[in-house]
Amino acid sequence: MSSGLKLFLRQKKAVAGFIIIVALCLMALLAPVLAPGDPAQRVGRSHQPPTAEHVFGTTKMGRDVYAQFVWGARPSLAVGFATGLAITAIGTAIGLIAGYFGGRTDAVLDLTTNAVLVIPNIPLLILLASFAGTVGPMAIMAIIALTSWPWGARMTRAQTLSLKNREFIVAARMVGEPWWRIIFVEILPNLVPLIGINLVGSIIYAIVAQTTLEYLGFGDPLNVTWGTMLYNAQNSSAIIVGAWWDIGAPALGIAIVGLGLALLNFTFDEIANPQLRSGPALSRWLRLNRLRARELRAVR
Amino acid sequence: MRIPLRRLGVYLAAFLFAIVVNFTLPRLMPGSPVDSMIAQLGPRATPAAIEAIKARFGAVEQPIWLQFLDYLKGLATFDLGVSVKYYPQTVTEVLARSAGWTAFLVVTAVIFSLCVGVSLGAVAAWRRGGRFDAFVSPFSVVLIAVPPVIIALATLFTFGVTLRWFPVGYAYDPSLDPGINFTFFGSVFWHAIMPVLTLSPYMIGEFQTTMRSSMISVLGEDYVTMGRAKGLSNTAVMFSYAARNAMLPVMTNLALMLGAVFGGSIVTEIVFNYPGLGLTLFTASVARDYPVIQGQLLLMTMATLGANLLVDILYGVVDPRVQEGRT
Amino acid sequence: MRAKRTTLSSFRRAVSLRRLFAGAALAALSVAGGMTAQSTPASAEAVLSMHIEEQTSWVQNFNPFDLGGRRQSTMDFIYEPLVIFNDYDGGKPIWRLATAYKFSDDLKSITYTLRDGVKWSDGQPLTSADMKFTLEMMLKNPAVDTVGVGETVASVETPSATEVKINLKSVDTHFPETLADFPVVPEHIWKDVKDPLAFKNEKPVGSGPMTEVRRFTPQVYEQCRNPNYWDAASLKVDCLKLPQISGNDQMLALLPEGTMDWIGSFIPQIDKTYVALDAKNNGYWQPPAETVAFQMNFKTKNAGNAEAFADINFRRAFSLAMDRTSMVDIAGFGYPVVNLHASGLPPRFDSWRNKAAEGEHDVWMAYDVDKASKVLDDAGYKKGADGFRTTPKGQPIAFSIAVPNGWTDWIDAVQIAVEGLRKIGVNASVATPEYEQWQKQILDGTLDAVMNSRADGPTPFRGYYQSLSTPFAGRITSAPSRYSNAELDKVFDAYRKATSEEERHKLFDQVQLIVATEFPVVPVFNGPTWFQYSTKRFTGWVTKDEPVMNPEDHDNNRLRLVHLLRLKPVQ
Repeated sequence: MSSGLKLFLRQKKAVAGFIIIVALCLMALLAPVLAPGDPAQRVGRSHQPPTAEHVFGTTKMGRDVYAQFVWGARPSLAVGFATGLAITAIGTAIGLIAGYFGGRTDAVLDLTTNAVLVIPNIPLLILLASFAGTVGPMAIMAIIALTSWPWGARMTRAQTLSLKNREFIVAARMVGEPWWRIIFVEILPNLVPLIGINLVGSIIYAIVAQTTLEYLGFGDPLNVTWGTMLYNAQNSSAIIVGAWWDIGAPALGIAIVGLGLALLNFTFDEIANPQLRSGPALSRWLRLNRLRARELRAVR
Repeated sequence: MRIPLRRLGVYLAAFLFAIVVNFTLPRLMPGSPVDSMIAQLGPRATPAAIEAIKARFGAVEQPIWLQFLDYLKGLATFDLGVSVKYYPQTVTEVLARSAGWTAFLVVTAVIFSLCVGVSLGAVAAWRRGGRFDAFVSPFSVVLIAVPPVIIALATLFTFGVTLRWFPVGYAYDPSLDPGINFTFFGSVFWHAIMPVLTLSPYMIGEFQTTMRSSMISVLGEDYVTMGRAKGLSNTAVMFSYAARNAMLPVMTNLALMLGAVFGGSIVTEIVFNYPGLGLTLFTASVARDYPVIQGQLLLMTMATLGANLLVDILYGVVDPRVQEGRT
Repeated sequence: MRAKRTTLSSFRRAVSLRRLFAGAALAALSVAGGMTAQSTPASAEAVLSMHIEEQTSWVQNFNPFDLGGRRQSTMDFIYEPLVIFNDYDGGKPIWRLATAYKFSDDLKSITYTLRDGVKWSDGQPLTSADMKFTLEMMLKNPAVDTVGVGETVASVETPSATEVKINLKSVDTHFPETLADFPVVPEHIWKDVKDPLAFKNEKPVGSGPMTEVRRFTPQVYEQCRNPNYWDAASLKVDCLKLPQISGNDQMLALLPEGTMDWIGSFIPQIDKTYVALDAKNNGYWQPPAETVAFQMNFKTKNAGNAEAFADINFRRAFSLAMDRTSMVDIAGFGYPVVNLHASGLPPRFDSWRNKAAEGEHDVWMAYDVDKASKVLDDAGYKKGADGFRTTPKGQPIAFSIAVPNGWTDWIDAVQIAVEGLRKIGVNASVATPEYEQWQKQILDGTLDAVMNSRADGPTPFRGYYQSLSTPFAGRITSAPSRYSNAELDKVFDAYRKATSEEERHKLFDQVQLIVATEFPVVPVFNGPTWFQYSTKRFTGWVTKDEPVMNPEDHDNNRLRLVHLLRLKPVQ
C-alpha cells in the first residue's frame, strides 16, 4: 500500500486531481460556513453581474450564484459519489459472482451484462425518468445505478476469471476454504486497483448523467444542485441575455469535478498496470477491448 | 458464419430486454400513464384512440402473456403505436422524420472524431512521454469527463450568440428547398458544424485514449520491431504496421460508445434546435408522449446493435491475424 | 454601436473561415453563410414572417377541429369567423362572415345573416348550408364540437341561402360569444370526410384571407392570399411565412437577423434583446391580459386548511403577504401588471369597472406583512413552537401551492408568494407536478392551492362565470377553488338571460361587488399579451399609442385577423 502511495505522490497530475476533488468536497461540507444562509433566498436584483458583494453575480430570481454554487455542490457531489459507489458495488458483485462461479450462473449473468451494455443508456434513463415524472436525487441515483453497472461487471469478471486459476487461489480451494472467504480474502484485494478505476469512471459517468437529466428538467426544480442551476439558468435565457455567470458557475463546477476525477483516473490506471508505468495512462477501455478481441478469437 | 452465435445471442437478449422494459414499465407505474395520455388528447380522445392506448399500455382485461404477444405482433409489423402529441401521426412517422438528421449528425461526428482522435492517439503513442503526449493524453481524459451539456452551452454562447459565426438552429436554411445542389448541401454542412463540434470532444477523447494505449501495446510487438530493424521509415512503420492493428480496439470502442453518443446528441440537438431524434425525444418527454419515447429507445437500441454487428463483421476483415488463423 | 458590431462580427467570420477551411469548402460555406444572414429576398410580394406557436417540427394539419394538432394559423387566416367581438372596444361586434344576428322574441332561437356573395377559396359560394352542415357535424360528432354547441343547440334551420336559424335548448343571450371560435367549413369538401377529427386537411379550402398553402416543409411554411377573398380590398399582405421555432432561446437567437415581422414570443429583457437591435423599427406592446390569482380549494380534505381557507381573514392576510411587485418585476421580467382590485378585474375591461367594488375593498391588495400578521393574530391564528400558525380551533395549517413543472416564471412567482406566507407564519410550500398531473389534480380536488389564470372571453363575464359559479366548480381547470355562492349564481343566471347592454353592465357591477366583498380568490397580477413587431417591412401595427384591439397573433385572439388587414407593406 505504501508503495502505491509513493507511486501516487510521484504523479503530479494525480495529486492535482486529488486536491481538486478534496477541495470541492470540503467546499460542499463547509457550505454553511462559506455561504451562510439559505441559497434560495433572494438577495439582490435580477441577473446582476459579479460584484464584490455577489462574487458570482445573481440569478434571474436575484439569488446569489455563489451561494447556490457552494450549496449546489452538496447534492451534486453526493449523488455523483453515492451513485458511483452503487454502480461499482453492483458491477463488482455481479462480475465476481459470474467470474468465480462460472457455468450457468456465468452464462446468465454475462448475457445480461452484455445485453444491458449495448442498450443506449441516456435514452433508457429518459424513458425511466419520464415514466417516473419529476424525480428527486434518490430516484435519479437509483435510475442511473440500475442502468450503468455493466462496464464494471465486465471488467471484474475478466479479472476474476484470470485470477481464479492462479496458484494461490487454487491452493486456497484445495485447502478447503469456503467460497466467500476465497472471494473476499483472496480475490477481492487483488481487484482493488480495478475497482478504483471502475469507481472513478462510474462517478464521472454518474455526474454526467445526473447533469443531463436535471438539465432536461427531470430533476426537482426547487432543489439547489448544479444541474438544476443549469436548468433554471437555461429557462431564464441566461445565455442570450448575457448573464454568463448564471450558467458559467454550475458549468465550471461540473467541468472541474470532471477534470479532477479524470486526473485521478490516471493514477489508478498506473497502479493497475505497473508494467506500463512508463506510459502514464491505460484506460478501462483497453482492457475491455483486449478482452473482447480475445473472446472473439476464442469463440471462433 | 463469421459472427459467432454467442454474439448474436447477446444482441437478441439486449433487444428483448429493451422490449420487455418498454412493455412492463407503463404497466408497473402507479397513476397509470394512460389517464394522462387520454387527458392530453382532450377532445381528440375518440373511443378508438382510447382503446388503442389502453391496449398498448395494458389497461385492458387480458392475461399478460396475451398482451405481450399482441405487443410483439405490433413490433413485427413496425407498428409502434400512435403519438400522443402529434396525434394522429404514428410513432413510426414521427421518428422517420427526424432519424435521418440524427444519423447524419452522428455519422459525421464519428468520422470527424475518428480521424482526429486516432491521429492524436497514434502520434501520442509514437512519441510517448514527449511534450505532445504529456499534454494531449491527459486532456483527452478530461474531455471524456465533461458532460456534453457543458460543451454545447459553451459552444452556443461563444460561437453562436457572442461571435455569431454559425447559425444557431435548424438543419439547413429554412428558406431553401431541399434538393441535390451545392447551395443546399453547403447549408446543411454549415448548420451541422456546431452540433458536430459539440458531439466530438467526448469521442475524440475516447478515441485518442484507446488508440494511444492500443498503439503502445502494438508497438511493443515483434513485427513492429522487425519493421524498424528492416530500416523502414518511421511513418511507414507507424501506418502500415502499428496503426492498422491498433485500430481494432478503437473500433470495438466505437460500437460500444454509440449509446453514449446518442445521449450526447439528445442534448446537442436540444441546444442547437437541430431537428433530429434527440429533439423529438425531448419534446416527447416534456409532453409525456410515451409511445414516442418508447419507440425512440427501440430505434436507438437497434442502431447500437447494428453498429456492434457491423464491427463484429469488420473485425474479421481488418484483423489480419484473425484472418490468417481462419484460412 | 449596432452597425459597428455587425461589421466586426462579419469580419471575424471571414477571417476565421479562411483559417479553418480552404479551397472549395470555403466557397460552399460562404454561400451558405451568406444565405443565412440574408433577409427576405426582394420581390414584389409582401411576405410577412410571423411566429405564433413553438414546435420542433411543422406538421401539415389545417383541420380547424383538431385543437391540439392544427397549425395555429388555421383559424381566422383560413377559416374566417362569423363575428369578432372586440374586448378593447366594450365587446363591440366586428362583422365578418355574418352581417347580423337577432334573437327571437322568446330568446329561444337566434338567426344569423350571412354576408352576401362570399366565396370559398375554390370559387364555390359560401351559403347557410355550409354553416348548417358544420353545426350539425358538431352535434353529431362531439369530438369535433370545439365550441360546445352540443350543450346549447337543439336544431338548425336555413330559412334562406344567407340565413341560419339556430334553435337553442335554453335561453342563453350569451350564445354569440360561444360561437366566437366557431369555424364554418365547406360542405362540398367535408361531407366526404369520414373522420373529421383525424382529417389533416393539408390543402384547405377556406373563407379567410390566407388559404393557399404554397410551401410546406418541417422547418417553414407559407400561407398565401385567397384568390376569392371577399374582403380582398383590405388585404395588403400577400403571404404569411411561418418559420419553425422551438423555444424562446431559438427566437432570441434569430432576432438579430431581423427577419421576423409579427412575433408572439416571451422575450426576456426585451429592450436589450429585441428593441436595441433595431431601435427605429423594433417595437412591442404587451398590454395586460387575464388575471392570475391564487386559488384555495374550499373543499380540501385537510381539515385545518379547510378551516383557514373558509375564513375571509385568512384570505385577506394571504393577500397582504403577496409581494406583487416582485412577482411582476422579478418572476415576470416586468411584463405582467400588478392587479390591485379585490374583484380581480383585468385592466382591459376597464369600461366594465364598478367603482363601488373598489376603495375599502382594495386595502387588502397591498403588500404589508405586519398588517397580515396582525390580521391573523386578531383572528386567533396562534403561532406554534415551529413558528407556524394554527387555526383558531387549533388545527395545523400546511399546504403547498401547485404550479406546473416547466412554467418557470410562474414557479418563481409562487416561490415569492411562499416567502411572503412564511414571513407571516403560514406553512406554505411550492409543488411542481407535471402539467397533466396538475390538471388532473385540480379536477379531482386533491390540490389545496394553485396559482392559475382564467380564460377571459370578449367580455369579463366568461372569466368570472366559469371560475366562480357553482356549475363549473371543480369541473374545469380554471375553477380550482370549488367556490359556491348562491347569491352570485343568481346574478350569473340573470346575466345569461339579460337582453340589453345596460342590464349586463348593471349585473356585472353586482358580480364585482360580491367578489370583492367575499374575496374568494387572491388576485395578484395580469399576465402580459405577447406582441412584438417590426416596422421594417410592414406598417399599421396596433401599438400602445393606438390601443384599439388585442394585438397578439396567438390562436386565442380572433382580432388577429383584423390586425392583419390593417397592415401595409413598406414601399
